[in-house]
Amino acid sequence: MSEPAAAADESAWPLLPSERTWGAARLTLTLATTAAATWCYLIGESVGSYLGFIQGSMALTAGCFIGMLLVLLAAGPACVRFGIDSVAATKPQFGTRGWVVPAVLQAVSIIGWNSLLIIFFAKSAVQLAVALKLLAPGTGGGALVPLLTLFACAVIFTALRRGATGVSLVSNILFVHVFVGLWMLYLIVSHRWPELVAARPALQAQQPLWNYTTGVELGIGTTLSWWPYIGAMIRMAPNGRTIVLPVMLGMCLPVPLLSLIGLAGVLVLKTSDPSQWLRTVGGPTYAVVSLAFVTAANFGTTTAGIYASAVGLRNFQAMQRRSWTTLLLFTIMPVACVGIFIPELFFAKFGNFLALIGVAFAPLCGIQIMDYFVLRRRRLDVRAMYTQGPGHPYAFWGGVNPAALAALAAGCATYVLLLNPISYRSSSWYPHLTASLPAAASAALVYFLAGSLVMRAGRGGYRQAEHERQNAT
Amino acid sequence: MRRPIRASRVNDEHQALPAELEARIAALESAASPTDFDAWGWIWMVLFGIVLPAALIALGW
Repeated sequence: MSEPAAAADESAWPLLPSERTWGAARLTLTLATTAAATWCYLIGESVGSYLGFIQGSMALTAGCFIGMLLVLLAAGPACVRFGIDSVAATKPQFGTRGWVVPAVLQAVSIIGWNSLLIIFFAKSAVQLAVALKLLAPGTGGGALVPLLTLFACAVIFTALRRGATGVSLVSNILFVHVFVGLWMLYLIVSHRWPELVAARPALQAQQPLWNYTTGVELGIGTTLSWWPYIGAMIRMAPNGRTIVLPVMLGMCLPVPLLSLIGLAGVLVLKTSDPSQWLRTVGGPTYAVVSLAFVTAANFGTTTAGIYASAVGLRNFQAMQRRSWTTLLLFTIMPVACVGIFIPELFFAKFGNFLALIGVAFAPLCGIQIMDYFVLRRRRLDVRAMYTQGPGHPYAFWGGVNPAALAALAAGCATYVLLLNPISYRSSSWYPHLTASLPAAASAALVYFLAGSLVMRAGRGGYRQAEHERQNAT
Repeated sequence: MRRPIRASRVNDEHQALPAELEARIAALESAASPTDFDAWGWIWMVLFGIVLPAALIALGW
């Protein structure tokens, strides 16, 4: 890759067509490696608490594809047209200062998840070393987890010094783990099929529709949380045609498929962790393969996450002049600190916070879809995304669009009223509607109503977009 | 004392874009308007994002 292109994929500035060289195969590979991680078992375990294997796999897969469609329609158009990341794509909706809100959501979500995954990575590596007899049996994480966290962060840092090429390189090496995951799924399904079909979920509610809807909701929520990641990856592809199948088959499909490992595990063997049940099914060799899979999977996802987060941070003016190395350090340091100093505390307490943060992505998608397809009728001003000050199209009021903030708040409130993401207490409407879809719809509706007022006030660049459209026709 | 401060702030806000960014935006603006999804993209999205989930939900239920 030439020098200017290498610098471009380390910035949040638009990429030129000549720099967007990832074809469908390369994008699929990178997205699949990004999507496949330990969280798949956790998702499968959650679904397996409410649904059996057949129903759970159907509901989860359906939900994943619905969520992925929302994310693709929300972030996809701006990212793929102008070669920008997910955060930059929110400037037409939130304003030239208001984009900080989605940027913070992205940073907290990615850094939080990456911290969890890197701790998983370190714990799996310790178990792997024990299984390979490199460490004595019974060796706990102790000092090893922080050391391995530091090691993983150093390797990720080194790989990402090459920007998006580093992410692609790591994906090329680690992609094989997706097939190892599918092999594990085949093992449990082929060995335990009768038990699997007969198994009853532990936390099944009395209302079958509630269980089924929860399976769909878990799928939707899972792929909605790809919003922070997707822009940094698809902007490397040259056009919209190149991204749709890689996103649907590379980023979406592996999640429900690999989640079935956790779903099957929790239903039959009461544990979603394949490194535990593979030992039962196939002995220590299988356990070693499984641990290697978990280790590799989390490493690939964390690499992509750190990259997406670093590009997102680049949108902040204070970060624009920093070197890529400094920016990477800014992004990796919180992850490293969590893994070194408070791994157990973070592991135990931060999951709920991440669940709360995840609530915001459905409304965010609703806002972006409504703005791009309905209010702006697919007209975006790339210059306006990077110019600040009163009078500029996306300046709104002081750089903030109150319509987007009101819509985001309305969407989050709708979600929480329908389903508490932590306690899973729900309203009577939830089994018929899910929580994410009404949250996205209510945010879109509020954005449409408030956005119409913004248009009347002559803010937001809607009139310029309308004039352009009329001139074009 | 307020006016000069405010004026300088406005000047800061209107500062020119970095040359590299300006060149990128100018290149994008001068090229044919980039499109989002083509017909095939929409077909795949409808198939995978609506038809397949609807079928799975109906089958699973």
